[in-house]
Amino acid sequence: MVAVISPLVTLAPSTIERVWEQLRPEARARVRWLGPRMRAEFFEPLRMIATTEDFAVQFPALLAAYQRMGADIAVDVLTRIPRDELQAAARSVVERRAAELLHAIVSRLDPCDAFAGDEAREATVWLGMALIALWEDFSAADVKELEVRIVESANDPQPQSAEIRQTHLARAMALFAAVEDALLDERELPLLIGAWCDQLFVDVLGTAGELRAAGICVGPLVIPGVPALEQRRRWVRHLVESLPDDDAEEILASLA
Amino acid sequence: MTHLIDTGTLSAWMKVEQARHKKREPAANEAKAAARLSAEPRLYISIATSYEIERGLVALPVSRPLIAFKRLLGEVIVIGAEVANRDGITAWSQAARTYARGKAKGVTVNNDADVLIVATAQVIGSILVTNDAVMALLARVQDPPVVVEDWLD
Repeated sequence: MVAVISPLVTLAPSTIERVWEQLRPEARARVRWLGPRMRAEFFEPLRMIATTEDFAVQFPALLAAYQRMGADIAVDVLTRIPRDELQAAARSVVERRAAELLHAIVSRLDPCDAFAGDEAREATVWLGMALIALWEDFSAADVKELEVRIVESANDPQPQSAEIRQTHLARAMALFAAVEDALLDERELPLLIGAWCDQLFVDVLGTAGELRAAGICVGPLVIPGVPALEQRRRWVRHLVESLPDDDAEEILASLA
Repeated sequence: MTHLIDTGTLSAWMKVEQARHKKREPAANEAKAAARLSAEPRLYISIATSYEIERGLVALPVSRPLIAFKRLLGEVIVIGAEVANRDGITAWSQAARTYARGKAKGVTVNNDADVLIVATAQVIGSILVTNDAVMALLARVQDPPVVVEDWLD
Protein backbone atom coordinates (compact mmCIF):
# COMPACT_ATOMS: atom_id res chain seq x y z
CA MET A 1 0.00 0.00 0.00
CA VAL A 2 2.77 2.41 0.86
CA ALA A 3 4.19 2.21 -2.63
CA VAL A 4 1.07 3.71 -4.09
CA ILE A 5 0.35 6.34 -1.46
CA SER A 6 3.25 8.69 -1.93
CA PRO A 7 2.26 9.92 -5.38
CA LEU A 8 -1.13 10.94 -4.05
CA VAL A 9 0.33 13.98 -2.38
CA THR A 10 1.98 15.20 -5.56
CA LEU A 11 -0.61 17.11 -7.53
CA ALA A 12 -0.77 20.06 -9.91
CA PRO A 13 -0.17 23.52 -8.42
CA SER A 14 -3.80 24.59 -8.77
CA THR A 15 -4.96 21.48 -6.96
CA ILE A 16 -2.32 21.82 -4.30
CA GLU A 17 -3.49 25.35 -3.59
CA ARG A 18 -7.04 24.15 -3.19
CA VAL A 19 -6.12 21.37 -0.82
CA TRP A 20 -4.08 23.78 1.24
CA GLU A 21 -6.96 26.27 1.38
CA GLN A 22 -8.93 23.73 3.30
CA LEU A 23 -6.27 23.04 5.87
CA ARG A 24 -5.64 24.88 9.09
CA PRO A 25 -3.33 27.94 8.84
CA GLU A 26 -0.40 26.30 10.61
CA ALA A 27 -0.53 23.36 8.22
CA ARG A 28 -0.85 25.69 5.27
CA ALA A 29 2.22 27.63 6.32
CA ARG A 30 4.34 24.50 6.23
CA VAL A 31 3.64 23.79 2.58
CA ARG A 32 3.72 27.19 0.92
CA TRP A 33 6.95 26.32 -0.91
CA LEU A 34 5.59 23.38 -2.86
CA GLY A 35 3.61 25.04 -5.67
CA PRO A 36 6.38 27.39 -6.90
CA ARG A 37 9.02 24.70 -6.60
CA MET A 38 6.97 22.21 -8.59
CA ARG A 39 6.37 24.77 -11.28
CA ALA A 40 10.08 25.55 -11.53
CA GLU A 41 11.40 22.01 -11.33
CA PHE A 42 8.74 19.97 -13.08
CA PHE A 43 5.92 21.70 -14.94
CA GLU A 44 7.89 24.36 -16.79
CA PRO A 45 10.82 22.11 -17.82
CA LEU A 46 8.31 19.52 -19.05
CA ARG A 47 6.44 22.14 -21.05
CA MET A 48 9.66 23.18 -22.77
CA ILE A 49 10.33 19.72 -24.22
CA ALA A 50 9.58 19.85 -27.94
CA THR A 51 10.09 16.34 -29.31
CA THR A 52 8.93 12.90 -28.26
CA GLU A 53 12.55 11.70 -28.33
CA ASP A 54 13.55 14.39 -25.83
CA PHE A 55 10.46 13.60 -23.76
CA ALA A 56 11.49 9.94 -23.52
CA VAL A 57 15.01 10.92 -22.46
CA GLN A 58 14.19 13.77 -20.08
CA PHE A 59 10.99 12.62 -18.42
CA PRO A 60 12.58 10.10 -16.00
CA ALA A 61 14.76 12.80 -14.45
CA LEU A 62 11.83 15.21 -14.17
CA LEU A 63 9.74 12.47 -12.62
CA ALA A 64 12.49 11.81 -10.09
CA ALA A 65 12.49 15.50 -9.15
CA TYR A 66 8.71 15.45 -8.89
CA GLN A 67 8.84 12.37 -6.70
CA ARG A 68 11.44 13.94 -4.44
CA MET A 69 9.20 16.94 -3.91
CA GLY A 70 6.37 14.53 -3.22
CA ALA A 71 8.47 12.76 -0.64
CA ASP A 72 9.41 16.05 1.02
CA ILE A 73 5.82 17.18 1.24
CA ALA A 74 4.70 13.78 2.44
CA VAL A 75 7.09 13.90 5.35
CA ASP A 76 6.09 17.45 6.15
CA VAL A 77 2.35 17.17 5.74
CA LEU A 78 1.01 13.72 5.41
CA THR A 79 2.53 12.55 8.66
CA ARG A 80 1.51 15.62 10.68
CA ILE A 81 -1.97 16.56 9.55
CA PRO A 82 -4.93 14.54 10.84
CA ARG A 83 -5.93 11.91 8.34
CA ASP A 84 -9.62 12.89 8.37
CA GLU A 85 -8.74 16.47 7.52
CA LEU A 86 -6.63 15.45 4.54
CA GLN A 87 -9.19 12.95 3.29
CA ALA A 88 -12.00 15.50 3.36
CA ALA A 89 -9.86 18.04 1.52
CA ALA A 90 -8.70 15.51 -1.07
CA ARG A 91 -12.20 14.23 -1.81
CA SER A 92 -13.57 17.71 -2.25
CA VAL A 93 -10.74 18.73 -4.57
CA VAL A 94 -10.91 15.56 -6.67
CA GLU A 95 -14.61 16.07 -7.31
CA ARG A 96 -14.32 19.75 -8.21
CA ARG A 97 -11.25 19.16 -10.33
CA ALA A 98 -12.96 16.48 -12.41
CA ALA A 99 -15.75 18.83 -13.42
CA GLU A 100 -13.36 21.59 -14.45
CA LEU A 101 -11.02 19.29 -16.27
CA LEU A 102 -13.75 17.56 -18.25
CA HIS A 103 -14.94 20.95 -19.40
CA ALA A 104 -11.40 21.98 -20.40
CA ILE A 105 -10.91 18.72 -22.30
CA VAL A 106 -14.00 19.39 -24.40
CA SER A 107 -13.15 23.01 -25.10
CA ARG A 108 -9.36 22.78 -25.53
CA LEU A 109 -8.14 19.25 -26.18
CA ASP A 110 -10.89 17.62 -28.25
CA PRO A 111 -10.74 20.18 -31.07
CA CYS A 112 -7.03 19.55 -31.69
CA ASP A 113 -6.65 15.90 -30.66
CA ALA A 114 -9.75 13.76 -30.08
CA PHE A 115 -7.67 10.67 -29.23
CA ALA A 116 -5.88 12.55 -26.45
CA GLY A 117 -9.22 13.99 -25.36
CA ASP A 118 -10.63 10.54 -24.70
CA GLU A 119 -7.44 9.44 -22.98
CA ALA A 120 -7.52 12.49 -20.71
CA ARG A 121 -11.20 12.23 -19.86
CA GLU A 122 -10.95 8.54 -18.99
CA ALA A 123 -7.83 9.19 -16.92
CA THR A 124 -9.56 12.05 -15.10
CA VAL A 125 -12.53 9.97 -14.07
CA TRP A 126 -10.65 6.78 -13.31
CA LEU A 127 -7.82 8.36 -11.34
CA GLY A 128 -10.31 10.42 -9.36
CA MET A 129 -12.16 7.29 -8.30
CA ALA A 130 -8.97 5.37 -7.62
CA LEU A 131 -7.51 8.17 -5.49
CA ILE A 132 -10.61 8.51 -3.36
CA ALA A 133 -10.59 4.75 -2.78
CA LEU A 134 -6.91 4.80 -1.88
CA TRP A 135 -7.28 7.73 0.49
CA GLU A 136 -10.08 5.92 2.28
CA ASP A 137 -7.82 2.90 2.69
CA PHE A 138 -5.12 5.06 4.20
CA SER A 139 -4.73 3.81 7.77
CA ALA A 140 -2.77 5.10 10.74
CA ALA A 141 -0.37 2.18 10.36
CA ASP A 142 0.22 3.20 6.77
CA VAL A 143 1.18 6.69 7.90
CA LYS A 144 3.95 5.43 10.17
CA GLU A 145 5.27 3.01 7.57
CA LEU A 146 5.02 5.70 4.93
CA GLU A 147 7.16 8.10 6.95
CA VAL A 148 9.92 5.52 7.29
CA ARG A 149 9.80 4.55 3.62
CA ILE A 150 9.70 8.10 2.35
CA VAL A 151 12.68 9.17 4.40
CA GLU A 152 14.61 6.13 3.17
CA SER A 153 13.57 6.81 -0.38
CA ALA A 154 14.42 10.51 -0.29
CA ASN A 155 17.93 9.64 0.84
CA ASP A 156 18.41 7.00 -1.82
CA PRO A 157 21.26 8.03 -4.12
CA GLN A 158 19.88 5.88 -6.95
CA PRO A 159 16.45 7.21 -7.89
CA GLN A 160 15.48 4.20 -9.98
CA SER A 161 16.00 1.86 -7.08
CA ALA A 162 13.16 3.40 -5.08
CA GLU A 163 10.00 1.38 -5.46
CA ILE A 164 7.74 4.42 -5.30
CA ARG A 165 9.36 5.87 -8.42
CA GLN A 166 8.83 2.84 -10.58
CA THR A 167 5.11 2.34 -10.42
CA HIS A 168 2.72 3.18 -13.19
CA LEU A 169 0.73 5.17 -10.64
CA ALA A 170 3.71 7.39 -9.85
CA ARG A 171 4.12 8.26 -13.52
CA ALA A 172 0.39 8.56 -14.05
CA MET A 173 0.02 11.03 -11.19
CA ALA A 174 2.88 13.18 -12.41
CA LEU A 175 1.59 13.25 -15.98
CA PHE A 176 -1.98 13.77 -14.87
CA ALA A 177 -0.82 16.77 -12.89
CA ALA A 178 1.01 18.04 -15.99
CA VAL A 179 -2.04 17.59 -18.22
CA GLU A 180 -4.24 19.25 -15.64
CA ASP A 181 -1.85 22.14 -15.26
CA ALA A 182 -1.66 22.63 -19.03
CA LEU A 183 -5.42 22.45 -19.60
CA LEU A 184 -6.23 24.87 -16.81
CA ASP A 185 -3.44 27.26 -17.81
CA GLU A 186 -4.42 30.11 -20.10
CA ARG A 187 -1.37 29.69 -22.29
CA GLU A 188 -1.37 27.62 -25.48
CA LEU A 189 -1.37 23.88 -24.97
CA PRO A 190 2.15 22.38 -24.84
CA LEU A 191 3.45 20.92 -28.10
CA LEU A 192 3.59 17.43 -26.65
CA ILE A 193 0.27 17.36 -24.81
CA GLY A 194 -0.78 14.43 -27.02
CA ALA A 195 2.35 12.46 -26.07
CA TRP A 196 1.75 13.27 -22.40
CA CYS A 197 -1.81 11.96 -22.69
CA ASP A 198 -0.62 8.80 -24.45
CA GLN A 199 1.91 8.04 -21.73
CA LEU A 200 -0.60 8.99 -19.02
CA PHE A 201 -3.13 6.58 -20.48
CA VAL A 202 -0.59 3.76 -20.74
CA ASP A 203 0.24 4.32 -17.09
CA VAL A 204 -3.40 4.47 -16.06
CA LEU A 205 -3.98 1.12 -17.77
CA GLY A 206 -0.84 -0.16 -16.03
CA THR A 207 -1.98 1.21 -12.67
CA ALA A 208 -5.30 -0.57 -12.97
CA GLY A 209 -3.38 -3.78 -13.59
CA GLU A 210 -1.02 -3.15 -10.68
CA LEU A 211 -3.83 -2.40 -8.25
CA ARG A 212 -5.82 -5.43 -9.32
CA ALA A 213 -2.70 -7.59 -8.97
CA ALA A 214 -2.30 -6.18 -5.44
CA GLY A 215 -5.86 -7.27 -4.63
CA ILE A 216 -7.32 -3.76 -4.68
CA CYS A 217 -10.71 -3.61 -6.37
CA VAL A 218 -10.82 -0.89 -9.03
CA GLY A 219 -13.47 -0.20 -11.64
CA PRO A 220 -13.13 -0.18 -15.42
CA LEU A 221 -12.09 2.82 -17.48
CA VAL A 222 -15.04 4.64 -18.98
CA ILE A 223 -15.64 7.68 -21.14
CA PRO A 224 -18.03 9.60 -18.89
CA GLY A 225 -21.51 10.05 -20.27
CA VAL A 226 -20.96 7.71 -23.23
CA PRO A 227 -22.95 4.42 -23.45
CA ALA A 228 -20.90 1.22 -23.26
CA LEU A 229 -21.47 0.17 -26.87
CA GLU A 230 -20.48 3.60 -28.13
CA GLN A 231 -17.27 3.41 -26.11
CA ARG A 232 -16.39 0.16 -27.89
CA ARG A 233 -17.12 1.75 -31.27
CA ARG A 234 -15.12 4.81 -30.38
CA TRP A 235 -11.97 2.84 -29.48
CA VAL A 236 -12.25 0.79 -32.67
CA ARG A 237 -12.38 4.05 -34.59
CA HIS A 238 -9.44 5.46 -32.64
CA LEU A 239 -7.43 2.31 -33.39
CA VAL A 240 -8.08 2.40 -37.11
CA GLU A 241 -7.68 6.15 -37.50
CA SER A 242 -4.35 6.13 -35.70
CA LEU A 243 -2.82 3.49 -38.00
CA PRO A 244 -0.15 4.98 -40.26
CA ASP A 245 -1.49 5.25 -43.80
CA ASP A 246 1.38 3.19 -45.18
CA ASP A 247 0.73 0.28 -42.83
CA ALA A 248 -3.04 0.27 -42.42
CA GLU A 249 -3.98 -1.81 -45.46
CA GLU A 250 -1.27 -4.39 -44.82
CA ILE A 251 -2.12 -4.80 -41.14
CA LEU A 252 -5.84 -5.16 -41.73
CA ALA A 253 -5.27 -7.56 -44.61
CA SER A 254 -3.00 -9.71 -42.45
CA LEU A 255 -5.78 -10.23 -39.93
CA ALA A 256 -8.32 -11.59 -42.41
CA MET B 1 -25.42 -19.20 -26.29
CA THR B 2 -22.33 -17.01 -26.55
CA HIS B 3 -20.49 -16.23 -29.78
CA LEU B 4 -16.70 -16.40 -29.92
CA ILE B 5 -15.54 -13.92 -32.57
CA ASP B 6 -12.47 -14.91 -34.56
CA THR B 7 -9.73 -12.53 -35.69
CA GLY B 8 -10.89 -12.23 -39.28
CA THR B 9 -14.42 -11.28 -38.29
CA LEU B 10 -13.21 -8.71 -35.80
CA SER B 11 -10.86 -7.24 -38.38
CA ALA B 12 -13.80 -6.76 -40.76
CA TRP B 13 -15.11 -4.15 -38.33
CA MET B 14 -11.78 -2.36 -38.45
CA LYS B 15 -11.81 -2.44 -42.25
CA VAL B 16 -15.25 -0.86 -42.28
CA GLU B 17 -14.10 1.90 -39.95
CA GLN B 18 -11.05 2.46 -42.10
CA ALA B 19 -13.18 2.68 -45.25
CA ARG B 20 -15.38 5.28 -43.55
CA HIS B 21 -12.34 7.16 -42.33
CA LYS B 22 -11.05 7.27 -45.91
CA LYS B 23 -14.51 8.26 -47.18
CA ARG B 24 -14.84 5.03 -49.11
CA GLU B 25 -17.82 2.71 -49.27
CA PRO B 26 -17.18 -0.37 -47.12
CA ALA B 27 -17.86 -3.84 -48.49
CA ALA B 28 -21.50 -4.72 -47.85
CA ASN B 29 -20.78 -7.99 -46.05
CA GLU B 30 -18.19 -6.31 -43.82
CA ALA B 31 -20.55 -3.46 -43.04
CA LYS B 32 -23.21 -5.94 -42.02
CA ALA B 33 -20.78 -7.81 -39.77
CA ALA B 34 -19.52 -4.54 -38.29
CA ALA B 35 -23.05 -3.44 -37.49
CA ARG B 36 -23.67 -6.68 -35.64
CA LEU B 37 -20.35 -6.55 -33.79
CA SER B 38 -20.92 -2.99 -32.69
CA ALA B 39 -24.38 -3.83 -31.37
CA GLU B 40 -23.60 -7.06 -29.49
CA PRO B 41 -23.95 -6.40 -25.77
CA ARG B 42 -21.01 -8.71 -25.02
CA LEU B 43 -18.22 -9.63 -27.40
CA TYR B 44 -16.14 -12.70 -26.60
CA ILE B 45 -12.74 -13.21 -28.20
CA SER B 46 -9.93 -15.67 -27.57
CA ILE B 47 -6.59 -14.54 -26.19
CA ALA B 48 -5.27 -15.86 -29.52
CA THR B 49 -7.22 -13.17 -31.36
CA SER B 50 -5.78 -10.57 -29.01
CA TYR B 51 -2.31 -11.93 -29.80
CA GLU B 52 -2.87 -11.90 -33.56
CA ILE B 53 -3.96 -8.27 -33.54
CA GLU B 54 -1.40 -7.08 -31.02
CA ARG B 55 1.52 -8.61 -32.90
CA GLY B 56 0.57 -6.51 -35.91
CA LEU B 57 0.49 -3.33 -33.84
CA VAL B 58 3.56 -3.62 -31.62
CA ALA B 59 5.99 -3.20 -34.49
CA LEU B 60 4.43 0.03 -35.73
CA PRO B 61 6.46 3.23 -35.40
CA VAL B 62 3.54 4.88 -33.56
CA SER B 63 2.07 3.86 -30.23
CA ARG B 64 -1.54 4.95 -30.50
CA PRO B 65 -2.97 1.94 -32.37
CA LEU B 66 -1.65 -0.35 -29.64
CA ILE B 67 -2.90 1.97 -26.89
CA ALA B 68 -6.36 2.01 -28.49
CA PHE B 69 -6.32 -1.77 -28.82
CA LYS B 70 -5.32 -2.26 -25.18
CA ARG B 71 -8.17 0.00 -24.19
CA LEU B 72 -10.56 -1.80 -26.54
CA LEU B 73 -9.77 -5.04 -24.73
CA GLY B 74 -11.56 -3.52 -21.75
CA GLU B 75 -14.74 -3.42 -23.85
CA VAL B 76 -14.69 -7.11 -24.84
CA ILE B 77 -14.38 -10.34 -22.90
CA VAL B 78 -11.06 -12.00 -23.59
CA ILE B 79 -11.06 -15.75 -22.95
CA GLY B 80 -7.63 -16.87 -21.78
CA ALA B 81 -5.91 -20.07 -22.82
CA GLU B 82 -6.16 -21.35 -19.24
CA VAL B 83 -9.94 -21.44 -19.31
CA ALA B 84 -11.09 -25.01 -18.63
CA ASN B 85 -14.20 -27.07 -19.26
CA ARG B 86 -16.02 -29.09 -16.60
CA ASP B 87 -13.48 -31.88 -16.92
CA GLY B 88 -10.61 -29.50 -16.21
CA ILE B 89 -9.31 -29.53 -19.78
CA THR B 90 -7.84 -26.14 -20.61
CA ALA B 91 -8.11 -24.45 -23.99
CA TRP B 92 -4.41 -25.10 -24.56
CA SER B 93 -4.83 -28.77 -23.81
CA GLN B 94 -8.00 -28.95 -25.90
CA ALA B 95 -6.12 -27.33 -28.77
CA ALA B 96 -3.80 -30.34 -28.95
CA ARG B 97 -6.83 -32.62 -29.18
CA THR B 98 -8.53 -30.33 -31.70
CA TYR B 99 -5.46 -30.32 -33.91
CA ALA B 100 -5.07 -34.10 -33.70
CA ARG B 101 -8.74 -34.71 -34.44
CA GLY B 102 -8.56 -32.39 -37.42
CA LYS B 103 -5.46 -34.09 -38.76
CA ALA B 104 -7.09 -37.49 -38.41
CA LYS B 105 -10.03 -36.19 -40.45
CA GLY B 106 -7.78 -34.70 -43.12
CA VAL B 107 -7.95 -31.09 -41.89
CA THR B 108 -4.50 -29.75 -41.09
CA VAL B 109 -4.24 -26.23 -39.68
CA ASN B 110 -0.77 -24.79 -39.45
CA ASN B 111 -1.72 -21.62 -37.58
CA ASP B 112 -1.70 -22.47 -33.87
CA ALA B 113 -3.72 -19.34 -33.06
CA ASP B 114 -6.56 -20.62 -35.25
CA VAL B 115 -6.48 -24.00 -33.53
CA LEU B 116 -6.58 -22.32 -30.12
CA ILE B 117 -9.57 -20.22 -31.15
CA VAL B 118 -11.52 -23.31 -32.23
CA ALA B 119 -10.46 -25.12 -29.05
CA THR B 120 -11.55 -22.15 -26.91
CA ALA B 121 -15.01 -22.27 -28.50
CA GLN B 122 -15.14 -25.97 -27.62
CA VAL B 123 -14.07 -25.44 -24.02
CA ILE B 124 -16.54 -22.65 -23.27
CA GLY B 125 -19.30 -24.19 -25.38
CA SER B 126 -19.79 -21.18 -27.63
CA ILE B 127 -20.69 -20.69 -31.27
CA LEU B 128 -17.60 -19.92 -33.35
CA VAL B 129 -17.98 -16.89 -35.62
CA THR B 130 -15.57 -17.18 -38.51
CA ASN B 131 -15.30 -16.59 -42.25
CA ASP B 132 -12.24 -18.82 -42.50
CA ALA B 133 -13.11 -21.99 -44.42
CA VAL B 134 -10.35 -24.09 -42.84
CA MET B 135 -11.22 -23.03 -39.29
CA ALA B 136 -14.87 -23.74 -39.99
CA LEU B 137 -13.98 -27.21 -41.30
CA LEU B 138 -11.76 -27.89 -38.29
CA ALA B 139 -14.64 -26.88 -36.02
CA ARG B 140 -17.13 -29.10 -37.80
CA VAL B 141 -15.02 -32.28 -37.69
CA GLN B 142 -14.73 -32.12 -33.91
CA ASP B 143 -16.72 -34.48 -31.70
CA PRO B 144 -19.15 -33.02 -30.90
CA PRO B 145 -18.94 -30.51 -33.76
CA VAL B 146 -18.56 -26.84 -32.92
CA VAL B 147 -21.44 -24.73 -34.22
CA VAL B 148 -20.10 -22.20 -36.73
CA GLU B 149 -21.63 -18.94 -37.94
CA ASP B 150 -20.27 -16.70 -40.67
CA TRP B 151 -21.32 -13.10 -40.12
CA LEU B 152 -19.48 -12.08 -43.28
CA ASP B 153 -21.48 -14.39 -45.50
